[in-house]
Amino acid sequence: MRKRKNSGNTAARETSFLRVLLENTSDVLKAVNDSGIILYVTPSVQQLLGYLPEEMVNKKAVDFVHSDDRTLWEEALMRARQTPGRATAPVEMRALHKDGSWRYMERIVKFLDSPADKAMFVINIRDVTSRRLMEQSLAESENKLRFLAEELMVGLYMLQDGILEYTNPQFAEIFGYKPGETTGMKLADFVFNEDLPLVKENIRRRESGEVEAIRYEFRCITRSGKVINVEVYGRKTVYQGKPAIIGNLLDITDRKRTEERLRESEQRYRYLTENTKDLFWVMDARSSKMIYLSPNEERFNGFTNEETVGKSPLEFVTPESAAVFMDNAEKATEAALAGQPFGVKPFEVELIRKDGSTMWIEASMSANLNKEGAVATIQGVSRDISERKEAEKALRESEQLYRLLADNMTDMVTVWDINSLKFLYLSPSAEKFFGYSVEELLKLTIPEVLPPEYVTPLQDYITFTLKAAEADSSYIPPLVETPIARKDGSMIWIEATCTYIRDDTGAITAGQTVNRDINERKKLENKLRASEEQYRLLAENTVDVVWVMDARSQKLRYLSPSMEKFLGYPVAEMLEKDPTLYMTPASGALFREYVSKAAKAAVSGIILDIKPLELILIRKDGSNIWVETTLNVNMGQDGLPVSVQGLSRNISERKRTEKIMRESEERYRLLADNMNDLVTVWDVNSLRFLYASPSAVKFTGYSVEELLNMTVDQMIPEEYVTQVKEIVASTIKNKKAGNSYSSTFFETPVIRKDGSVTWNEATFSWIYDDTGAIIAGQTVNRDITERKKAEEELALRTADLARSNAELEHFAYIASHDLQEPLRMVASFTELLARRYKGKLDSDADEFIAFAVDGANRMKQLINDLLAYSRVGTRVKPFAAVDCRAVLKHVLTNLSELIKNRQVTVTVATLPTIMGDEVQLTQLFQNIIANAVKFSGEQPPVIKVSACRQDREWIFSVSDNGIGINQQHFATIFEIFQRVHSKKNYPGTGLGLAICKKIVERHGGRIWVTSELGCGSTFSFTLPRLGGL
Amino acid sequence: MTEYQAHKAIEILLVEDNPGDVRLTLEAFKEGRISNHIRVVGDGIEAMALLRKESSYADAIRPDLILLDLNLPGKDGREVLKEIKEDNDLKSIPVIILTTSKDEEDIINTYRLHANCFLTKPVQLDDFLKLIQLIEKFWLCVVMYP
Repeated sequence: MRKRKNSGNTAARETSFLRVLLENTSDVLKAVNDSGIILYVTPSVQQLLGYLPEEMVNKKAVDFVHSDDRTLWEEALMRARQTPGRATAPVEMRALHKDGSWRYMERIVKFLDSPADKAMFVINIRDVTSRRLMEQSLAESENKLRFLAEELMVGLYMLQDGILEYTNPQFAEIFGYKPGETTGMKLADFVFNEDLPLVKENIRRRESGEVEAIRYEFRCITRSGKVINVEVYGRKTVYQGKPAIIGNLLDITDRKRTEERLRESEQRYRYLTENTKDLFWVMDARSSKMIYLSPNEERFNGFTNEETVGKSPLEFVTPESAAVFMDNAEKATEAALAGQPFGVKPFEVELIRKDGSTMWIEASMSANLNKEGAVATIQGVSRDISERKEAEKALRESEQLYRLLADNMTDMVTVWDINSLKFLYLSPSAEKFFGYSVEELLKLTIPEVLPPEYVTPLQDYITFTLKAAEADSSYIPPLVETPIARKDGSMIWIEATCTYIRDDTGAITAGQTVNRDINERKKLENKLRASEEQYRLLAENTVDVVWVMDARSQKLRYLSPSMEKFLGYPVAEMLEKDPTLYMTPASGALFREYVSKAAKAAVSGIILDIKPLELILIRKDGSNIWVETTLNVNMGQDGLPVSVQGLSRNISERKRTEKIMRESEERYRLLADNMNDLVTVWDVNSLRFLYASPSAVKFTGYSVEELLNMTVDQMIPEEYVTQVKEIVASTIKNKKAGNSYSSTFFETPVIRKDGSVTWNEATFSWIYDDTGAIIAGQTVNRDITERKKAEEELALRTADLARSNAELEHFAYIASHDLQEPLRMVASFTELLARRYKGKLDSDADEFIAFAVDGANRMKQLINDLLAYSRVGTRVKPFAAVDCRAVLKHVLTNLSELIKNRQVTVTVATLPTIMGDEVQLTQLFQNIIANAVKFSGEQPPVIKVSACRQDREWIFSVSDNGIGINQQHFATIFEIFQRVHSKKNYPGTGLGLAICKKIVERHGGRIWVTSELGCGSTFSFTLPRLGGL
Repeated sequence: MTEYQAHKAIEILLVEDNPGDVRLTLEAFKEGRISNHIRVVGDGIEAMALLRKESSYADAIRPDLILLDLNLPGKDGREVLKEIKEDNDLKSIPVIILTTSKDEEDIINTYRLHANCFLTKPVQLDDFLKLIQLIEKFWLCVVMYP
C-alpha cells in the first residue's frame, strides 16, 4: 500500500483512488509483515473494533486475536504463506474490541512474497458477529424445537413430493419402526389401499392451496400388516422453497373400537347404569316369555340370565302374585293400545328365589308397540322391597308391644268423649284407681267419678283447655290435680296429663288423659303445709309480745312466751301481777292514763286515734328497754270493759338511734352557733341581711338584730359592693344560660361598727325559689385580716428587697463602669511611663513603676469581675433551652490555652439540656473549671464534669484532684470578696465563685462544695430540669 | 490619595473631654507616620461651633475626619453625631466614635445615627496604640474621601 517512488502520475492517481476506496469500505484491510507486526490497517477498523488505525499499527496482530483462536490464526498465516498470492478460505476468529468485548471476524489471508524484503500478509476482515449471534440463537431454537418434536407423544411428519422428509420417533413407533427409519419413506407405503384416493385428494387440496389445513381420519397399515385408524392434522407449508405438508398423526384405533362398542350397547346400558339396583327386564308380549333380564338378576333372585330368558315370568312368582302380575300386564297392554305408553302403577309381587325363599318386589311395567301397532314387548323394572316389608312387619310387632305396655302400666290411660265426657277407653289399671271394673267405667262419665265439689273445676278445666287446643294445635294443656271418688266412697288424688286426639282433618274427636296416683304426695304436702303454718305463727310471735290484762283488777292474765326474752322474768312469775310494776314510774303513770282513756272511749263507743304508747320497761337485771304498745279494750256483755289486750314491740334500738341523732343534731347546731366563720344570708336585690350567725358580733361589732336592719353595702367599701353586684349578675346570667355557678370566693374589707377595717374571705352560695330563680345569697365569711397583713408585709418587704437589690446592682454597675475611666488613665500612663522611661531613671523608679502597673492591672481585673457580678442580675436575657454539652465545648475552647499549658485532663459525661442563660452558664462552668485548674497543686489537674438527675433537678458536679478546701470555708468561698488563700500564691479577685453562686441562684438552683484538704474538691450545683416544674 | 497626601496634611477633629485620653490619642498619632493636624475640643458645643465656624472658630479648617467621644459635658456625643449627620454640609465628614462604652445599645444607636464606625477604647496601652495605628492606616491611607 505504499506509494512507489517510481510511479507515474497515472499510477499515483490510481493509488490515491484505491486509497479512497479502501478507506471507505466497511471491510477492514490489514497489512501484517512477516514477523506478525501490523503495518497498515484501514480506518474502518474503528467501526469494527473501536481502535484508531494508529493505535494498532506497529502492534502484534496476534494480540488482537482471542487466545482460543490463535492456533487458527497461525494456521491461516501458514496456509497463506504456502500459496503466495492466493487468498485462503474464510476463517472465523474472534477479535478484541477496544471496549474489551470479543467480535466474530471472518478473515481471508493472502501472502504477498514480492518484493522479498517487503513480504507481507494482506488480510481482509469482515465483522460476522451479528451473523454468529443469529446462528447461535437459531441453533438454540432448533435444539429446543427438536427436543419438543422428538419427545412429543403424537407423530409428527413433514411431507414433500410424497416423501416423508421428517418423522419424529413417535411417528415411527406408531407404525412399528425404529426412530428415524420412517424418514425418507413414501407416504403411500403406509396408507391402507382403500383410503389412498382420499389421502391423495387431501394432499392435493392443501398443496394447491385450496385449503390451508385439514383434519381427517384414514386407515393405515403398520410394518406388521395390522390396519390402524389414524387421525391427521396437516397444514400446508413451504420447505426449501417448495410446497410441503407438515402435520401430526394420532393412532386412534383404540378410540375407534371403543366408540363402536359404545354405540352398540349404549341404549341398553344407559338404562341399566341409571338403575343399577333395580332389575330391568323385557318380555315378549305374545309368548309371555322373558327375552331380556339385566345382568344383576343373579344378585336379585339367584337365577342367571340363561336360566330365566325364554321362560315365563310367572314361573318365578308365588301363585297369588302370578295373578297380580298378569292382571297388571294386561292393564299395561291396554294402556299402550289406548295411547298411554307410561305403564301401570307400581304393584307388589312376591318372588320365589332360586333357593326357594320368597322376596317382595315392587314392579312397574309398560308395553311397547311394534310398527304394526300391536304390542310387541313389555318391559319392566323390579325393585327389591323386602326391606320395606320387613320394616312394616317390625312396626306391626312394636305396635303390639306398646299396647301391651299401656295395658300394664301403673298409670291409667283414659279416652273420653269431649261432649258427653263419657269414657271411651280405659286402661286396665283403671280398676285399681277407681275400684270399678273397666266395663262399669265405660258406662260412666267423668263427673260421675269426681267428688261433687270438684266437678265444676274440672269441667271448667276441660272447657278451657279444649278451647285453647282448638285454637292452637300445638297447645299443651297444663297438668291438673284432682281427687276422684272411688266405688267404695273413699277419695284419692290424681295428677292428669291431658291431650286431645284429632282426626285426619285436625278436628278434635276425643280427650285422652294419662293419670297418676298422687295420693301419697298430697298427704305429705298437706302435712307440710300445716306444720309450716304452725312454725310461721311461732316465728311471728317471737318478736312482739301479746298480753291480756284484766280490766277490773289490772292484773296480767296472759303473756306470750316471748315476754321472758323481753324482761328476763319467766312468764309464770309475771301473771296476776300489775304490769306497771315492770315500768318506770313515769311510764307506769302514762300507761294507766292511756288505759283508762281507752276504756272510757270504748264504753262511750268512740274510736280512739292515738299514737302507739312508748313505755320504758325495767328488766329483771335492772336495765331498761323501750317498748311500743298498742292496746285494745274488750267489752263484756254488760257494756263494761272486761279485759285489755295489748301488743308490745321492742323499740330500744330505734330509741337509741333517735338519741344519737338528736345528740348529733345538737352538736351541729352548737358548731354553727359557735363557729369562727360568719354566716349571712341576704336578699340579692335589696342586699338586706336576712340572717346572720351569732358570730356576727365578733366579725362586725354589730349585734345580729342590728345587722338584720342593715344592708350589705353598709358593711363593705363601695368598689367591693360593685364587685358583689357583678357576681350576683353574672351568677343569674350563668344560671339562665344553664351553667352551674354555685360558689365564688371573694376577698373584701369589712367596715366594723367602730370604723376599723378587717379583711374577710367570703364564699358565696345561692338560694333559689321554686322556679329556680336566685332570691338570696349566702356568704360564709372568714377573717383573713392576719393573713392579709402578713401578705402585705411580705409584698412590702419583697418590693423593698427588690429595690435595694436593684439599687445595689445598679450601684455596682455604675461604680465599676465609672471606675473604668480613671483606671484606664492610671494603667495607660503608668504603662506609657514604663515604656518610655524604664531603665532611664534609677532602680527605685523602675520598681515603683512596676508596682503601679501591677496595681492598676489587678484593679482592672477586680472591676471587670465586679461588673460581671452585677450584670448577672441586671443584664438578663430570657431563658432558652441550652445544651450543656455545647456549653462545655465552648468553655473548653475558651480555656484551651490554659488546659494545654497546665496539662489538664477534662472528662465530660453526658450532660442534659436545660432552660437557662447560655452566656451565664458558660461563665459558670468556666469559672469553676478555671478555679479547679488554679487550685490544682503539684500534679497535672484531672477534672471530671458530670450530671445526674434527682427529682425535678439536675445535679451537676465538677470534681478535681487539687489542693482541696478546709470544711470551715465551704460556705464563705461563695461570698463576694472572700479569699481563702493569699493573693501572692493564688491571685484573683475573690469574685469568681460569688458570680457562680449568683448565676446558679438566678437559675433557681443551689451551689455547694464538698472537699477534703489535699484530696480534691467537688463543686456541685443544681439546675431545674427541663419541663420539671 | 497619595497625591492628595503629598500636598496637604490630613485634618482631624478630636472631640474628647478627658485630657488623659486626649494626650494618649495625640501620643499614639505621634508614633504614626502620617502627617496630620489634630484639632482638639473638649465638649459637644465647642465641636459644633467649630464645625459651623461660629464666632471664634470663623477661620477653622473643615476636618477630614472626626474622632468623637460619646460622654461629653454640655452637648453629648450622640447629639453631636446627630447634628453632624443631619447637616447637609457636614454629613459627608466621616465620624469615628471612640469611647469607653461597650454598650450594645450605644453601638446600635450610633450606627442608626449614621456613625461611620464605632470603636471602644482598649484598656491596655498596647492595644490602644495599635487601635490608633489601625485608624491611621485605614482612615488616613486606605479610605477615599469625596
